[in-house]
Amino acid sequence: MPLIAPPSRRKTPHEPTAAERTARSRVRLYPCAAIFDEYDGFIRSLGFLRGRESAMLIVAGDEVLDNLITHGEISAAGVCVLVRRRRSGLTLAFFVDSHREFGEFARSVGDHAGARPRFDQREGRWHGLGLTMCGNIASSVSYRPGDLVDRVFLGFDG
Amino acid sequence: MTGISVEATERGAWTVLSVHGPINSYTFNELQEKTTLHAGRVDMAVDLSGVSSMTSAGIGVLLAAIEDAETAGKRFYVIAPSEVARLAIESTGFAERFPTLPSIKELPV
Repeated sequence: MPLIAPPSRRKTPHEPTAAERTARSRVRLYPCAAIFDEYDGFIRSLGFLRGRESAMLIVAGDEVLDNLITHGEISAAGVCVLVRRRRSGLTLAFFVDSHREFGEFARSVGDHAGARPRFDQREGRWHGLGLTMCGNIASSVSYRPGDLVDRVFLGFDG
Repeated sequence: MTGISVEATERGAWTVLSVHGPINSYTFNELQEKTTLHAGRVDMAVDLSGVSSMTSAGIGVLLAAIEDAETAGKRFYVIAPSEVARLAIESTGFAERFPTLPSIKELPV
């Protein structure tokens, strides 16, 4: 076995290490005005993210948090956020105490899959805009209601 | 920085709103108040270079301001969006609705 790897096998400074390929980190956040700063700070602190990945996780994750907050789905127990890197890519996951509205929302997402965002003149706000944003940034988005814990999973290709 | 600051300045024919901080469901009201005050009444630009994050709540405010400006025949530009603000705009799928300039110096006379 050669002691020096051929050029094609040598690591470049930009090549992720084995630890970076399988890194994971988690944080628990609580419902308050600072939750976005805390989430964004958590994402920016992750050394295993590269290039635009931080920005992608911030935009998509802020959108998920905003929806959970707007619909009152984050209990006093907070929300657990997990970021995991595998060879196949990144996963961003949110875990919150189960909430009735989440189940209804998750079912409605399936009903309106592929629908463009629309502005409701009567309510004066957009519907489906956040869903579209997440769907355009992440390669996969799934909303999984549970009896005890509701989960949101976003996948990002590696 | 939990809140946002929105500072309005005059620059020739333009009213420029400079936004700093995160725009989300907690903070968008401040931006909405300022844009509602000016959009459609004057030529307006919104400098997003200091925006640390932006959710659809902020996107909705900008879209409403753009629509008000178009309806009233006024000009509107987004100026120098930060990386996350630019990504948020691109992720809507209709970034062409947001007239954007790289710098405040590029504003037409």
